[in-house]
Amino acid sequence: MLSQENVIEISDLKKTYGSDEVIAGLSFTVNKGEIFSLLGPDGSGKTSIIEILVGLSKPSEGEISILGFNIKSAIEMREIKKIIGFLPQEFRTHDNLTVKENIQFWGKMYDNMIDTSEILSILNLEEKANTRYKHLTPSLKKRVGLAIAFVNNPEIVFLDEPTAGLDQFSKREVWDIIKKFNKEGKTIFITTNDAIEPQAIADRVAIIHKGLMKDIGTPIELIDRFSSGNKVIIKSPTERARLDAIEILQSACPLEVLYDEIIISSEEITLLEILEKLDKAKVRYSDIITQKPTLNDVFITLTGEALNKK
Amino acid sequence: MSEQSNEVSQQHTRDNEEKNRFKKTLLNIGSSLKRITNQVGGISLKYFRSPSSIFWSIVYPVILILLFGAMFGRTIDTNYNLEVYDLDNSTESIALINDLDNLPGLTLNLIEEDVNQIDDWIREENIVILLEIPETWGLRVSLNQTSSLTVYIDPSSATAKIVLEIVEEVVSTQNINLLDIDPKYDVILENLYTNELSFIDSLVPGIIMITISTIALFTSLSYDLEEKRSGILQKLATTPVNKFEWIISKQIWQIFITILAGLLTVLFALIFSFNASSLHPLMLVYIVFGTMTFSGIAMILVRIITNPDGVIIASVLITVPQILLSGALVPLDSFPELLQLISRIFPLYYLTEGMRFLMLEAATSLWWRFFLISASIAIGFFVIGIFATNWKKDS
Repeated sequence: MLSQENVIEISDLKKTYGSDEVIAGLSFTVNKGEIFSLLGPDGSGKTSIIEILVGLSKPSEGEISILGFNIKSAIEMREIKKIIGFLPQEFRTHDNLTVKENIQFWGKMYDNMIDTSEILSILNLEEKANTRYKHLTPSLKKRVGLAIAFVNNPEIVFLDEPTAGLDQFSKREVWDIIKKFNKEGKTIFITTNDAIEPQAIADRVAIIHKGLMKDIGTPIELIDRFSSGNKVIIKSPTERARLDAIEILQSACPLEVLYDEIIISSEEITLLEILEKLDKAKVRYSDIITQKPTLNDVFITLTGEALNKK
Repeated sequence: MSEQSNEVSQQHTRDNEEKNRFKKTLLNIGSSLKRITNQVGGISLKYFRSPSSIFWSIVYPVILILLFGAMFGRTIDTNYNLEVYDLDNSTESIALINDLDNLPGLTLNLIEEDVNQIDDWIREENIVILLEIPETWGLRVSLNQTSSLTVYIDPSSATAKIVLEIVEEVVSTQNINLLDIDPKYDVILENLYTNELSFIDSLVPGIIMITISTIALFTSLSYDLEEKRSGILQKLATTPVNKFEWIISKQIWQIFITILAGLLTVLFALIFSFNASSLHPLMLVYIVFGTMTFSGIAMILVRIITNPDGVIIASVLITVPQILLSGALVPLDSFPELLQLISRIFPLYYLTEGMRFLMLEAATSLWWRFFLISASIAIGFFVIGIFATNWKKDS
């Protein structure tokens, strides 16, 4: 039976398509009322996991219960569908219906629909209520998608990459909305390939790679566990200056070069020592900044690969 | 006593359980109907706000019946022209011209001017048929001598051939009259069916079925594909809506639209003297069969097709051969034997013929045969379509 705290329990979940194993034995739990994030690059199995949880796909092996209901039972799955919300990746609702009509359309599929004006107000969509969906900006479309995911007053909401393709400002808007719903007691399960997202909103994050769980914990726990202090980032004004800086510094400490940036762990060498070495050799630099480690650094430490390979 | 009360209590519990189950079933049916109504409402709003949907359901059937009615419904404004060049001007030639002139639907244009080269003149004036009565024709006729009339004809013209048949018919009647004999045998026309149908009457079922097949196929394909590509189908599968409710909702709307298209076809067919008394209530059932058949085919195709271009190609590949070869527009008896056999593989053939038999109040056995075949095709395609529908990722 389900413990009082856990609303989702996943045990040894496996999923294969032919000979391709996309989920290779995952076990974790999601607590009631938390924002839980699955962080991994494209193709790591995030969408496959969410599709299994919302009943779009069946697990090849393993046990899953949501709010005490076993997802393998068709009758219990029917009950699960009444109490969950879901926003698929790249979801577009009916183009020729207005925002309000779309929300009502999806809401009436359930017996416990939230009042339309209430949800329009939560998502700041009142002014666009009578605008057809096709005339909205991508950011507003995403907000309508969120309204639809929450329209049945669900206990758990599954959001598959809800901020994909949005600019930083729109992302923050979406995060604010998610946090607003979370404060009302909703459990949010979110997938992302953006390391900033779980740091910004998640209570706990599970890092997955090639269908395997790499680690799980709060963002701070993971960063503390796997990152080695702050990073020093040096930007050079010219290619020549950058090469000179690399030559001077690489004898003193290990460094990483990413595009026009030289990245050094501050555990290896202090900022003051770096500045002294560069000044002594008369190497020019345009900027030197220190940066706290992110979940992306954790991901690199755990997998040896960057989250976003672009 | 205690045993008896125990039994009563158990019976009471069983009754309560039964009542609760019944209540739950009623609630489930109520919720299901609510979801279906909601979806039909959503589809109708979408439909009437989409110009392409309006085209297919309202404009297209009207264009089709106006076009084919004008082409084949010859009951109105059927008039043929015949140019007559009378070089004789005798009593006999005038009598012949009067006989021709008295025929309904034939307009005679007498050439008054002198023409030197008749062949060239005909070509210059763009004339397709001309009757020339030569000099002394009347005299020779009055003397019981054989005398020929000349008809100049453009062999590529279909109307010229019809006019020629009319002229020949008049000439042979005149010949019989001149010989002063009674015809020995005659032909009496007997209609095989109770209803007398004109060509436009038999064309209407074909046009209704073409419209239905096109609407059901095009709109189902584009609607289903759009829902699949936009994630709406995925999202629906995670709500309490089930696959059957989704399909039933779409089907209810499709049937409404195809009945509307059928009514429009009949309404506009009245312009071409369509005989409305030949309509039969069971034609509505045929419209339902047609919708089910082509929606079923669309559901099967959506399983395979992944982009909008595929929708156009598949629709054209399925509808065009059927329209041309199923006998919906062109009577099958004018086809070579092989094509007549091929026509029987098309669902449209059975649906159109079945509807025609209904209108003709035809022999019971034939009527039932087509009805049963059409019903089987409709149910068959629809059921396969339901199974083929990719509602969930693994299904």
